[in-house]
Amino acid sequence: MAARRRTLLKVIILGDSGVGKTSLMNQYVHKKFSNQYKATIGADFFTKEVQFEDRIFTLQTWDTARQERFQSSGVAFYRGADCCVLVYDVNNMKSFDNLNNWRDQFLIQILTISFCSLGNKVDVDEGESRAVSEKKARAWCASKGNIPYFETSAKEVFNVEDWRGRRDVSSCLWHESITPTLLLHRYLPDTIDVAGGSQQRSTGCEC
Amino acid sequence: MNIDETGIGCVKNSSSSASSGRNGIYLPGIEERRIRKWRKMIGVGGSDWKHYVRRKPLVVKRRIRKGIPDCLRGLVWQLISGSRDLLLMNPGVYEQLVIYETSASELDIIRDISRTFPTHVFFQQRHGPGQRSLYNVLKAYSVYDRDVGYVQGMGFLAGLLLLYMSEEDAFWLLVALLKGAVHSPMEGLYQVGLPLVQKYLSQFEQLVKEKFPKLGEHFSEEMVNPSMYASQWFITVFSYSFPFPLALRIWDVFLYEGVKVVFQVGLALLGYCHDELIKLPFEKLVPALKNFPEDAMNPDVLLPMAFSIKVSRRLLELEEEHKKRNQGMLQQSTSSAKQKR
Repeated sequence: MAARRRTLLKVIILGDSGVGKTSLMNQYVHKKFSNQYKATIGADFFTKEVQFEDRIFTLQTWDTARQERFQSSGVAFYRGADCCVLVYDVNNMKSFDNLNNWRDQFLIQILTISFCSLGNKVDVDEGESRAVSEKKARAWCASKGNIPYFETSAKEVFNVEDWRGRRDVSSCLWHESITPTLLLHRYLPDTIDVAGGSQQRSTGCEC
Repeated sequence: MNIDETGIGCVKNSSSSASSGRNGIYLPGIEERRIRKWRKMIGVGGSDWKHYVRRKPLVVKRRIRKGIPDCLRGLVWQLISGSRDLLLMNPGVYEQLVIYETSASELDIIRDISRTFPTHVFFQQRHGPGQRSLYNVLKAYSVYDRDVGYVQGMGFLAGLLLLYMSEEDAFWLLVALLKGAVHSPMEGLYQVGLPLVQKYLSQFEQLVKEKFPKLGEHFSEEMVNPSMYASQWFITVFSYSFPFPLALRIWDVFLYEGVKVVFQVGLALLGYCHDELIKLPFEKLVPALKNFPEDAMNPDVLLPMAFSIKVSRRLLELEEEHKKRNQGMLQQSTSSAKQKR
């Protein structure tokens, strides 16, 4: 059974307050968008199962309050993270500039990690109010060790290929953004089962 | 979540429609008598209140625990929090802060205004009276105490207050809470490093272990700690995500008895759901600790449970322990904060 080959992945979602982290998570996990999210206080937790090749991964995602004053409290959540998703708002230059800080702050705590970066809210004003160009964002990502980059809108998720050729969050982007981490784990033993004390499995398919 | 309903007389649960919520529909006789008693206790414009509290503190405590009548809530909150006195001592100060001062936090505040009680009619309308008042109160506070400024979470305190009083009254009540007019100051919830949040969470964690040993052990095994679910309980005093009828009743007691009730309610919630929680693995446990079942949200069930959990003495002892443990660290962080100024 594929379901028995489960692996936990801990994902941390970071970015300035108000760039849409909670919206992205809700879109990804619950396929819902709302204009009525509250500012995150403390930490939110989402979990989702994804299948990749023959394995089921449980993604544990932490979305923490991101106002400056809360930053020290968020650090405790970084421990044991496998993947860090950096989010900024393409209409807000400062949120893009701050990606550096978020990345650095994270790297102080965690050594081996895969990053990916999302430019959110590309739907706003049909792109008229855009402050950060895709080119600029890609250049930054390339300079930081080729961080995979995607443009998203937590709001506009319909018509996958329709929206100026961009794809929607839930079906594509997240999957792809987490793929590098998934790939890393392809060659690792099942981390969960080891803790449970079960024997190493044969490589044969159990389906 | 819905509107300014009150929980008194109409404990009919949260799903009633927006415009209901008038009191006295159920058991009008009893409700009227309650209000009369309360009016007598308060006196005209609050004139008899202090006298009454001094003479019969236990009667006051008991009545507050039963819930302050909704039509008097705003006034009583100002009396028990000490904010009325602050207001009278500082005429014109609020206006000065709102109109003439500028705040470094203005953009931060604006960004969060539409994200504070976004489904509540009073705050729903963009740039409507609710949002404007909320902005003014938060801006005024961020100027009044520039060191603390504006921190996420304050909006939920201010928002709840604004449902029951004017901007200026809400502002002084916020001051009374954060600066500690009656109880110990709450500003540590919002200062750099969130020292008071850390302290409350460590106290809470210990209390969970002591009151519910099995659950405490389960939490340790699953590596769940209170920072994952209880921060917002303390930072917003249950106003962030709890149904209003319950939040208001908690606030009645909170303003009179202090932060102790936040611990009691938190523990009562865990106690109420104990047998469910103890079965859940991490991925289900954390969400369950953020979404309690609707029957647990009934104030007339939860609050009596909460009051039956004794925490005062243990809280003091744990505070001492926490202080000792953190003395070195705290000194460091405050001195570096001072340097920053």
